[in-house]
Amino acid sequence: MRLPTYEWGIRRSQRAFVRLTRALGAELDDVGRASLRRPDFFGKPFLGIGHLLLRGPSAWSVGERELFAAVVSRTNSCQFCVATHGEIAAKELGRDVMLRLDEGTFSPRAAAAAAFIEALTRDPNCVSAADVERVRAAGVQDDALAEAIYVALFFNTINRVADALGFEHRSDRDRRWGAEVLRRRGYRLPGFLLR
Amino acid sequence: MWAGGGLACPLTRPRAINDAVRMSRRGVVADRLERLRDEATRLVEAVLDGEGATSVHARHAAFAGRADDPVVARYLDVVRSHADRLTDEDVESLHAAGLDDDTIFELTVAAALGAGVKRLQVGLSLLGREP
Repeated sequence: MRLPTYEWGIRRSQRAFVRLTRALGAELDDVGRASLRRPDFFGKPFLGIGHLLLRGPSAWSVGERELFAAVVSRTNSCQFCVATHGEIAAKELGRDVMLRLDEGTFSPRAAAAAAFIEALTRDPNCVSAADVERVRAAGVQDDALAEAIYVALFFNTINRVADALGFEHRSDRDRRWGAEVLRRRGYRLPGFLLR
Repeated sequence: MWAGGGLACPLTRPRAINDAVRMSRRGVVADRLERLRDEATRLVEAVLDGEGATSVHARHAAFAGRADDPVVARYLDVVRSHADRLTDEDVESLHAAGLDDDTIFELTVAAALGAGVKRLQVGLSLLGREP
């Protein structure tokens, strides 16, 4: 990470937690670390919307939402986020899910929403009502598309933060473990870390 | 049947869950969208108007892609347009210009959030909705 003071949090309990995750071989990733130092400014509200958006009841499965995350991140060329959310999507939907999406053999409904938020990510000024009609024609309700658009908000934000501040996985093992923890537990950190 | 048929078993499910099952799917999703809107508002308010090392003015400007200092303005422009092209040297140049980690973090998050909110506004407005 390019901001050294954001590596370990600021309080003793936060530092101990990060060291513990390192010792256990599942080190807290850089998004989690960046959430520790300034929880009221960023960590709490950011993880709050993240967990609500990517977990819990929705018009989309967890796997589909993670796939949307990977699509937005790929469009922004954010390798850090693609590596994590592509991994979760693959675990939920199958190893070849991105390939199936690209080849047009994945769920037409999810593919239509993914194409919309991909275009929205690439250039919001070039998306039109005709694009919305295409998604509707694939059977996507407006509420469901609105949810996908919130995924675009979330990842267009964190992709930029991650790339600007040089977020990276310390090893492939860390990446895979981190993805598995997110898949199982969602986007929450223990409350004592965000005080 | 209970798991897949959408019917609630009053003997095995707590009342709150039965209530939730009875809600229409549209009602559940609409409620969820309301909560997402609230959470997004909370995030924007925290980043732009909460306590910070930088001024509220500077964060609002970064959110809109502007900065008074030309070095910072160039950096924020890349954050918004091609953040993947930023390097260690770009952040080092901000440190060299006298910005500390908290300042860089706040302005980066504000600029990134501006790019995210722009997409939210465009996407929802095409659905005829307010962000």
